[in-house]
Amino acid sequence: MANDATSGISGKHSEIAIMVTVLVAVMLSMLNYHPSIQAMIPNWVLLIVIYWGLVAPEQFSIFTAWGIGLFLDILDLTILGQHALSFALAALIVSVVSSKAQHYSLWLQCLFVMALSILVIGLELWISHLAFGHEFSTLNLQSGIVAGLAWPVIRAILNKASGSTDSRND
Amino acid sequence: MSRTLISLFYQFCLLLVLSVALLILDNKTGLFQPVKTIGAIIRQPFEFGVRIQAEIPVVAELFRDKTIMQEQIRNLETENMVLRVQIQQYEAVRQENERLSRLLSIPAQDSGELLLANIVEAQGDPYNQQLVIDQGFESGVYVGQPVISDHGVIGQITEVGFHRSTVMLLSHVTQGLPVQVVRNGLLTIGVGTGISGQIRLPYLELEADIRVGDELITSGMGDRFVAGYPVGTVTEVLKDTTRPFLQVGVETAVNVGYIKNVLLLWTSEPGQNGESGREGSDDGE
Repeated sequence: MANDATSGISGKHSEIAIMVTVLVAVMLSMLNYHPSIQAMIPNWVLLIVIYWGLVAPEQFSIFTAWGIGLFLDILDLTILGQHALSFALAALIVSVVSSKAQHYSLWLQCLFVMALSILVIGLELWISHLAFGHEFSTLNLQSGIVAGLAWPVIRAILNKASGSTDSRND
Repeated sequence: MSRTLISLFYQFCLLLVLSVALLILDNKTGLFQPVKTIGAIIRQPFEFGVRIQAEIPVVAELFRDKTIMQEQIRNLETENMVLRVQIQQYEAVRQENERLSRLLSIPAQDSGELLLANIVEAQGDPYNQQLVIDQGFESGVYVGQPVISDHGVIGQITEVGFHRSTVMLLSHVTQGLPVQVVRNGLLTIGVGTGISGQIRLPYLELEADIRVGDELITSGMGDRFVAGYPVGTVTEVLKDTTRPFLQVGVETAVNVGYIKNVLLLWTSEPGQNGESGREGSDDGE
């Protein structure tokens, strides 16, 4: 079935896939993890934002990323705009490099995701530092590293889920 | 290519302005409280996981050895007895206090209504001084409501959901609380430090009479907390003559790491403190 749509994923299909994956990621991010691993849980929604920004840049504008961030802000008991801004920044960076990054080797993509996650975490920490005076801690960066390490698995799962033909790099 | 980049950049600038506006509005005003309540309601189903986690020890308890249970019950009965005796004393003291207050025509302060709430989530982040409890606006919880435990003050409610509320701890940097030194009645304000279990008293003059070991209680100023709940103990007094104020560190009376339940407090209407206080005592007798 996926072979029929060789020209790319059809817009509608992709939109549904985007919505479903975002919802699943939001649910995953709302689960409560054991305190010992809490700091290592990657930002699932951010990974989804990065993935769709790379794979379907036409369907996935930075406004979408911003909207998803805002949705997460409303659900999270944090300050409104925190995730929205950082996701928009992530989407901006992704869309600037998306045409090249699709052809990056898996290693390079992992590093890219790791760097982007750490950047987003840093921005969110900075915002909550300004708003509430929370201290910075290196503990929070762990999840960024885990996000980079988890990227190959996440990408494989999402490729499967979206029926994407984007498997050039494998 | 460059044109799309420029338009992307403009889009981002628009979003940046929007986000910053949201951040500032949300931080400085309570404008988005209803939106957050909706968020809390949406969040509801996802919190079953938490509830299941919380249920596991309860279920495990059922299978515990009977003798341990009996032992526990005996302990609890003993404790209950001791507490009852103490309450009798307290009741007598309270009535006397009320009588004296009436003589001095000061409105006696009612201790108000209490509701027990369980902590369902202590934020994993050690720098985020918040708790989530399992009571929401369904039970009449409101923003700004005082939260205490059997050892003293914990903090106040900052967000209210349907069955969930967020408690901001005293040690959170945005928190301030009017306190009083038990030893000499000195009034001042305790401010959060952002470090768990630590607050400070930044507004005491260099000559102020305060020592390490002084007990602090709520002073009842500001109409939020009823006077007399333990706040903490002074652990550090630094006198630096180059500064206008003393640097006083306080350890809070409640170590949030060790508690499972909190008490929500409904204070009586500020305007009719004396009346409701008296009525309350009549009911009690």
